[in-house]
Amino acid sequence: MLAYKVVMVGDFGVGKTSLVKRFVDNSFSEEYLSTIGVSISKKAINDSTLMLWDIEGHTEFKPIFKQYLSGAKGFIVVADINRQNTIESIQRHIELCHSSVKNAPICIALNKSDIHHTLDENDMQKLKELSEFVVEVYKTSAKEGSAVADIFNELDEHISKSIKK
Amino acid sequence: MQDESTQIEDSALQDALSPIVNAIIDSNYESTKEQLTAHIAPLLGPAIKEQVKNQKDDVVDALYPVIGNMISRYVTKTLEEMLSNINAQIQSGLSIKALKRKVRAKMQGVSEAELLLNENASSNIQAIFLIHKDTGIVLAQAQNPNHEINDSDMLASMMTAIRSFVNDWVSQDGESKELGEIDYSGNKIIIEASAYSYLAVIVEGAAYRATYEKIRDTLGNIVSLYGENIREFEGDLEVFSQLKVYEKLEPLLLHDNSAQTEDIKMKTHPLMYIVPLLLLSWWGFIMYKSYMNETLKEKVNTLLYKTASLTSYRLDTKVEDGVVTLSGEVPFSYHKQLATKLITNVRDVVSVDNQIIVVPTLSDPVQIDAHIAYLIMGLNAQSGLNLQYTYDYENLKVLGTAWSEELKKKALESFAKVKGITTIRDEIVVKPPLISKNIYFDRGFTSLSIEAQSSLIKVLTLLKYADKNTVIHLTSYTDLIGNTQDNTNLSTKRIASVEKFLKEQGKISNKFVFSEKDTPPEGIDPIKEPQKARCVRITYEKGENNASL
Repeated sequence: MLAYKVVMVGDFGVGKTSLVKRFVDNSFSEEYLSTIGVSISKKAINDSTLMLWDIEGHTEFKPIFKQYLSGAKGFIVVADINRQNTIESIQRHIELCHSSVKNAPICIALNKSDIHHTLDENDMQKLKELSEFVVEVYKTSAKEGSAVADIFNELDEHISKSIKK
Repeated sequence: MQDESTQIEDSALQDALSPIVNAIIDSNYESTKEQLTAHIAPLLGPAIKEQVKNQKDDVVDALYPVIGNMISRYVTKTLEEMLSNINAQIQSGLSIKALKRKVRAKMQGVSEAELLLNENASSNIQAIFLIHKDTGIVLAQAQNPNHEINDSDMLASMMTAIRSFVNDWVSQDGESKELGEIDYSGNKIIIEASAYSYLAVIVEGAAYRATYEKIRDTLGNIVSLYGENIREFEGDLEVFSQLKVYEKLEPLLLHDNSAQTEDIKMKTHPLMYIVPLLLLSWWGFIMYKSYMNETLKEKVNTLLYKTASLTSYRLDTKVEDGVVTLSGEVPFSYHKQLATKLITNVRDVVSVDNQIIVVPTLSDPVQIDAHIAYLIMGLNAQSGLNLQYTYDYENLKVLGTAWSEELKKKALESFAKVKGITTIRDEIVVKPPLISKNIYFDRGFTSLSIEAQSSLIKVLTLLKYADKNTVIHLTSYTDLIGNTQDNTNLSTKRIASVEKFLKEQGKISNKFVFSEKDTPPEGIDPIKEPQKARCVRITYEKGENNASL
């Protein structure tokens, strides 16, 4: 029986909360999110219990609390597939995560993939190469649900292996 | 080659010198201990600082069990001081509420301050979570089965987030501050943190000093036992359930449910039990006594009511421990005595205190009239009184005659004794009895026969009522038999005999007038009734002939 913390990181409005909502059916109200800057959800998959920390999106007026990252076993960095600036932020987010938890595995979710986009495999490969700890890059759609479960499963598989090792 | 030989030489030299040098150092250490300490001391500060800087959490965990206790002792002492301060303040305050609290404190054997603090409070630990500080994962938990929290994982994570948020928000100048407690509607979550984990204890109601102490001790114990496992926690909960960490938490749950009440029990003064017990027995005794008294009272009342001659009188009874006190009014002492007699024989009656008052109350006019009639009858039955009356309620008029003032006075005194008579109108006339008596003599005799003496005694009784100044007339009559001279002689002697008898026997001092007649009394025929002709007639000057002689 495993239990660990996964943190959702990404710019404001990229769809982190939507992704979590799609993935879990049990989550705290968003009111908490606006109050202390984090919304927590729980999801049991396979033999693990994932505690998903959905951190309030980073804006220039609101820096995120680094404490929320600490102790995480893995991160999901989310970007809006159609907003280039959010994709460019991925690098910074990865650094942020690793400044808190060294060598933590990261999955990248390029969300809102249901909307027409121009991002190709090449670009995705480039993103994966941003860090050796990027496990996988997914095109997700919280709206349609595509690849949502996959990204969490992939991350869990990776983390579980490392814990049990 | 040279290098090699040098190395060998060095090694040999080292081997040879080592024991000597060590001995020198040892002896040197002994002699220059203070010097050495002085040299090392300045290094210790920076060394610890460096260690804290690099391995802060390790240092915290190493020190936690020691410092935790130290702080707890300090806090305890401070709290005690605070309590004694509050006590002092309370002692100076005097209000009804304070007074009530004082009484309660005395009865429960606790300090007022504690009572003040515990007022409205009942501490009850609902759940204890050992939470991994960074991840918010619940490592171990113990919960009250009656108040189980559904999603402890969520709660723990959320609390971790809040803790992080608050700590970050309040931290200034890199100085770490800890969230200690979250209060919510009368309940609270007590947070006691070590370096890698913290305990979140959910308490319903107020938390006591002992609760905090126990929480601190529990965490200290857990850290010293499982500190390493907690620090190296990666996500595998198996380790903690195998270690049965929850077993360390459970006593805390039990502690506050039982120990608190035990605490109160211990503090309850023995008088708390004795006083109600005494009160209860006293009350029971009173009730029993009251029941017995009531039963006896009922018995006595029934008896008094059922006794025909007492039924009509209102008699009150009081019963106390078998002593019956009677009160009320009756017309005759007979009634009073009857009541005493009746009640003394009742079972369970110890004694009778008879306070009944005898009040002759013949206030009924018919009764009063009858009473007067009865009295008059009695009075008239004796010689010398012949009375009648009229009674108009409260006013009596008595008419008639009495032979003497003395008799009249006696009669009036009798009437005065009758209740219900306010005024007595006296119309009684005093009239001495009229005496006219013939004393007969045998032929030729001047001495008094037995019959004559008997008649004279009767006369004497009447003469008692006569006025001493009245004159008694003695008149002699003859039967005309024989010569006149003889008869005159006989007459003189016969008068003398009567006078002598009256004077000697009656001891009267009245004046006598004698007259001798040579005839028989009027209307007497000396031939037909010669024995009635030979007589001496005794008459009374004034008087009324109402006596039957």
